[in-house]
Amino acid sequence: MVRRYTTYKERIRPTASARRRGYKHATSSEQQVVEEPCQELEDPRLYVIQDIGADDVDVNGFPDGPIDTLVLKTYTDHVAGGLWDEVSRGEERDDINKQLSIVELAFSPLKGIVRPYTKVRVRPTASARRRGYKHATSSKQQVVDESCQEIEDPHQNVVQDIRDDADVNGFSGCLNDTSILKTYTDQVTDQPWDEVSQGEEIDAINKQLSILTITSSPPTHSSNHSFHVLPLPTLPFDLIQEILCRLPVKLLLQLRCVCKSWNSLITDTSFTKKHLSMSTTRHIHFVRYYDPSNKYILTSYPLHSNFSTMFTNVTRMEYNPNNYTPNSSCYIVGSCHGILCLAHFYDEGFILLWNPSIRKFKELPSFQKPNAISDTRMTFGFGYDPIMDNYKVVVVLGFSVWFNNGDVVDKTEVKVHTLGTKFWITIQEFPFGCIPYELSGKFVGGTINWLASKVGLRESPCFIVSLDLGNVSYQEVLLPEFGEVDFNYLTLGVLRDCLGLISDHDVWIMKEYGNKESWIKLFTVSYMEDPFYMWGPSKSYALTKVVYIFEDEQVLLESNGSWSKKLVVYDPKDDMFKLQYNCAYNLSDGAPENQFGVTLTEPEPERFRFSFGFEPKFTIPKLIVFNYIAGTDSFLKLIPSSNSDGISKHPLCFH
Amino acid sequence: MSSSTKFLTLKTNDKEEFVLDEAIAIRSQTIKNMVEDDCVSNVIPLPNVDSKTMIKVIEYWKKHSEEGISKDKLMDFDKAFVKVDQSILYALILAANFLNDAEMLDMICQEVANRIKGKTPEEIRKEFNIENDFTPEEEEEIRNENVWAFE
Repeated sequence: MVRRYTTYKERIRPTASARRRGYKHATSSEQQVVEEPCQELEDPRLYVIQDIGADDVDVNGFPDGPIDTLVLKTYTDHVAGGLWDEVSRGEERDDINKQLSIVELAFSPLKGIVRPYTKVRVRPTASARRRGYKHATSSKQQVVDESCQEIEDPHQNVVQDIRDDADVNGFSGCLNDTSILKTYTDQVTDQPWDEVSQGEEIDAINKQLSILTITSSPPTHSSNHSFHVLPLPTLPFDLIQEILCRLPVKLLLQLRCVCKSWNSLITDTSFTKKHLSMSTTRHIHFVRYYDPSNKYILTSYPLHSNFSTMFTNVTRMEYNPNNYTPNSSCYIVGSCHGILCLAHFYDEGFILLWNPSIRKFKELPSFQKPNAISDTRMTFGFGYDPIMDNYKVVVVLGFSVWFNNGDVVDKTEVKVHTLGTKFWITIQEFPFGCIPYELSGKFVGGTINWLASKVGLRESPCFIVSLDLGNVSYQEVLLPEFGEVDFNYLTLGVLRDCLGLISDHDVWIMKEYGNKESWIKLFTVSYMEDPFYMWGPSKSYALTKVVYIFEDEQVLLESNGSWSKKLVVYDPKDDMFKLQYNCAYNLSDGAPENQFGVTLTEPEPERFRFSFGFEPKFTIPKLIVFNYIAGTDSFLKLIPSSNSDGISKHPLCFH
Repeated sequence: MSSSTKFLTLKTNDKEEFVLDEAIAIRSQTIKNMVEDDCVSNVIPLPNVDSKTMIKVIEYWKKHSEEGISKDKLMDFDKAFVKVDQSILYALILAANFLNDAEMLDMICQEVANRIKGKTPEEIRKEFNIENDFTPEEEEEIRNENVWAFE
C-alpha cells in the first residue's frame, strides 16, 4: 500500500508540487487508516486485494514512463468484457470473491485516505465536480434504499469509496489512461456488491449497482452536464504528449517552463522524434555570409505555392562564428531534419551546422587535408544515420599526387564526422576509381549520393555513387534509361523525398531507392525566357533548378539566369510560369550581389531535436544552389566542365 | 458468434443504448478488438463515455463511413465538428482515446493544439490544471536558454 503511494509520488511528477504535497498528506493518513481496518477485517482476501487492487491497478494504470496505453486499453477491454459477462454468472464466485476483496481492501480501508486525495487532486477541476459526485452519491443511495433495502451503510461506503477511487484514478495527475481505470473500477464495483449482500437478490443488486457506479464514476459525464460551470478534466499525460507534438517549436520552447514534467517531455528525444514525424511545415532558407562583419544571416520562409503570402512571414537570424573568420561566401551543403549544413567555397574545412528552428549553431572540428601537388577539391554530404541515430558529415577530398616516374594520379580521401565527436574518421576512398563532380551529395534514405564519373569529366560515363551512412559502404546507383543525354546537363536532387535527377529539362525521380526500374519522368520544364540575362535575353539559359514539388503538383524553380536570382512557381500541367520572386534582390541588403553567395536550400520540414548539447531542428538535405561567380576559376576545378564557352550553356548546372 | 452480428449495442455510462452497424462501430479499435476476440455478448459497455459524447462520436463515425463522400465535404464536416466548447472537446478526446479511434483522436488533438497556440505558459497551466513546480530561479534559467522564443 505504502509502496503504491511512493510510486505515485514519482509518477505524478507532472501534476506538480501542490499535488505532490497532496500525495504526501494522503500517504501519511493512509498509512494510519490502512492499518486499522486491515487488522480489524483480518481477511486473507485483503491481501489479495493489495496485490490486485492497489499494486496492479497502479502499476498498470499509472506508469510514469511512456507506456503503451494501447496495450492497456486492450487489456482492459478484455478484462472488462469478461467481467461484465461474469456478473450474472454465479459459478464464477471465486473470481468475484477475489474481485470483491480487492474492492474492500483497496477501497474501504482507504476511505479516509481517498478523500484527501480526491480533494487535492481534483482541486483544479474543482468543487463543481465534487458537487457532481455528491449528487451522484445521493441518487445512488436513493436507489439502493429503494431497491435493496438490506444493503446498509457499510456498503454504501464501499460504493462511495469506490467512486472516489475512480476519481483518484481518473484524475491521478494526468498520468495515464483514465478510461482503463474507470472501467476496471466499474467492473470491480459490481462484484463486491454481489459478495457483500450475499442475498438472493444478487442479480437485482448487481443491476442496480452497475447502474449506480456507471452513473457516478466517469468524470466526462459530469463535465458534460454543465459545460459552462465545470472546469475541464485533467487530460492523461499521453494525450498531453499527443497534443504538444502538434505545436510549433517556438511555442514548445516557451512551454518548457510550464512545469517540470512538460519540460522533461519536450526535451525528451523520443518526443522530439515524434514531433519531427508530425511536422508538415517546410521552410525555404536563404543563407549568406557577410564578410566584413563576419556574420551569417539566415532568412526563412514557410513554404507555400502562393508567394504572395509566403514572403510575409519571414524569420531572420544571425550568427557570428566564434573561432574562425571565413574569407569566402558560403553555401548550403544540405539539410536533414531541419538542420542546415553550411560550407564555404574556399575556406576548406570550415563547416557549420545550423538548426534555425531552435536557433542553435555548431562549428564542426576541422579536418586535415592530404598533401597534394594540387588544390584539394572538396565535396560534402550531410545526413542522418538511423543505425547510430546521429548526424554525419562526409567530405570527399579529391587531389592529385605526383609519382616519381612523373605520372600525376588523381586520388580521393573520404572522411566522416559524427556529430558530437571531435574528430573525422578516414574511411575507404571513393570507389570505382571515380570522382564526384557536384559540390555536395544528396541525402536520401540514409545514403548520400553523388554524380560521379571516371575522370571527373562529365561527358565520360556518368553514374551515381551512394555512401550508406549506416554501414559506411559504397554502391552504384543506376541512372534511368533516358537514351542520349548530355551528362553536362545532369544534376541530382531530392524531390518528393526521393532521389531526383534533372537531365536537361526533364525531371526524374527514383520512386524506390536503388531500384533502377522505378525511375520515372515526372515532367519537362519549358524553356523560360529571361530578359535580364547578363548577356542579353536568352531562352534556354534562364532555367533552372527544381527546388521543390508542391502537393498540388506545382513546381518551385530557382532561376539562376542572371545576377538576380529568382524563385519561380511553374505549373507543368498547363506549362505556365506563374509567380516570380526575386529573392536575390530582396536579400541583398545593399551588398553588391556579386560578392556574396546567396544560398537556397530545399524547403525543409520543421524539425526538432536535442542532441549532444546541440539542438538541431528542421531540414532535409536537398538541392544545393549557389551563385557561381564568373571568373572564379578555382571553382571550375571542382566542377570540371568541357564547356568551352563557360557557363552560358549550363542552365541546370552550377553557374 | 458475435463476429457475425450485424449490429452492436453500445451502452454508455448513463444507461443509454446505441444500436449501431458493426461496420461503423469498429472504427473504434477498442470495439473492434472486442468483436474480433469474441468478447461481445450482446451489449458493449462504454463505462467512461456518456451519451452526449457518444452521440457526437457516432455522428462523426457515420459521416466518415458515408460512401463516396468527398474529401472537401469531410473537411468541412470535421471543421464544424470540432467547433465545440472546450469541455465537450475534452470529453471527445477522452472518448476517442478510450475507443481508440486514431483518426478522430488525431483530429481532436490537432484542434486542442490549435487552441493552445498564442497562449502564454501561465494560461496553459490554467487550462491544463497544472501547477508550476519550478522555483523562480529554475524557470528563469529555462527562459534564458531560449530568450528569443519568448519575444
